[in-house]
Amino acid sequence: MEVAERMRSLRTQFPECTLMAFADLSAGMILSVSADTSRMQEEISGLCSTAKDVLSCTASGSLGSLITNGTDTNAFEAILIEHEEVGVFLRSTVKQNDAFCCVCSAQISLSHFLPAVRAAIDTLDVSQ
Amino acid sequence: MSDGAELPDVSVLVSRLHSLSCAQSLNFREKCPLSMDDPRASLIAKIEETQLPRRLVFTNDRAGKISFFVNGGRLLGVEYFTSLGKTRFYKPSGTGDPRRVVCTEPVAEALERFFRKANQPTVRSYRFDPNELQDDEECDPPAILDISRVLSEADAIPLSPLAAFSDQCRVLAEALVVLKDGEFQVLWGDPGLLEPLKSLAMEEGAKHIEQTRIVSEDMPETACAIYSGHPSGGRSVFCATQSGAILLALCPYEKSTELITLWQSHLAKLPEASL
Repeated sequence: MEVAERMRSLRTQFPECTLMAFADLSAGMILSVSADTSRMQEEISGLCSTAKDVLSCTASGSLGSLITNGTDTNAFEAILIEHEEVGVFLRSTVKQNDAFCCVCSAQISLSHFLPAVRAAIDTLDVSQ
Repeated sequence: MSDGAELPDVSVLVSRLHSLSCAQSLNFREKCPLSMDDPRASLIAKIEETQLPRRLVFTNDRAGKISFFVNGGRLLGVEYFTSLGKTRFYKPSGTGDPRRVVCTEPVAEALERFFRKANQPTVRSYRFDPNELQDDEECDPPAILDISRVLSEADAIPLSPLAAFSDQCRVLAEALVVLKDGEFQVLWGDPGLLEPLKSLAMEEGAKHIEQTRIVSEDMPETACAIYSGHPSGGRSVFCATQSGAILLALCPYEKSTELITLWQSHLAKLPEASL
C-alpha cells in the first residue's frame, strides 16, 4: 500500500485525525499530505519544522539519555497536547528519516491511534 | 569439626540459606505478597532476611509506597511519604535494627498510614549500592539528600497545582520532578533516574522563563508534550507546564498513553480561564 493510500486509510479509521503528512526528516520536506480540507503551504511547512524540532530534540543529551533503550537515543514519538488539538509525530524505526506528522482533535483515542500509526510507518515501503 | 558444639544451629543455617537462595538470587522484581496476619512482623522479617544490599519497595493496593534500604539485615534508610504525600528520607543513627527503626517516629506513622490502606501489600526488591550511603558517613544518597533538603526549603512555599497532580502520576512513573521558580517542589523516584531528569527540568525551566518573557503574562500557559524513545525498551518523558511550574515524569514507553489520559482528565477539571 503506498503512502497516500495508507494515510487515507488511517484517517478513515480515525476521523479525529484531520491532517496527516509524510515527512523526510533529513530533507526537511513533506512528501505527501492527507487532510480533511485544503491547507496552506505554510501550515504544512510548519508541521515539518515542528516534526524536525521535536524528533531531533535528543541531540542535547539529557533527554536522549533518559529515553534510550540502551542502543538508540533518538526520539521516535512526540505528542504535543493542546486544549483543542493533539499533534502526533512518529519516526519510523526502520527508516529513521521517515516520519508521520498528524494533527488530531482532542477527542482522538491515542491508545488506539498510536499503535495503528506506528504499524503503518514501520511497515511502509516507500520504494514502491 | 571435632567439637560439635561449635557448629551453628541447623535452623539458622537453613534460614540463612533460604534467605540467600530465594530472596537474593531472585532479586524479586516480581511482586511478592506480604502476609497480612501481622504485616509489621512480616515486613521486619523481610528486612532481616535480606542479606545483600537491596532496596525493598513495599506497595499497597492504593499505590502507596514505602522503601527500605537494607544490607545484612540492617536498615540503612527509609524513604516514605508524609500525610501530605511528600517524600522524606529517614536515616537511623543507631544500629539499624529494623525492629527499632520501624517504631521510630516518623517511620512508624508512615507505616501506620501505609498499612491502613493495604488489603494486600506487596514487596519488590531492587539492587542497591550501599557505597552511595557509606562513602561519606555524613551523606545520604545524593538524590535522596536533595529530596530532604529541597522539600524542607519548599515547605514554606505553597505547592503548585502540578505538584498536586504529580501525586497521581506516581503510579505510572519511575521518577518525577516539579520545578517552579528555580526550586524543585517535588523530587520522587529512582535516584539513578532523578539526576538526569533534574538536569532536563533545569534546561526546560530556562526555556520556559525565556518564553514567558516573550509572551504576555495573561496568555494561557498550560501545555503538555511527551517524548518517547524506541518502542522496544525505550522510555518516555512527560513534560507539562502549568501556572509557571514544570512537571517532568519518566515512565516506561508502554505507560505514556496512560499518563496522557491522566493529564487530559486533569485538564478537564481546570477552569476554562486557566487553559
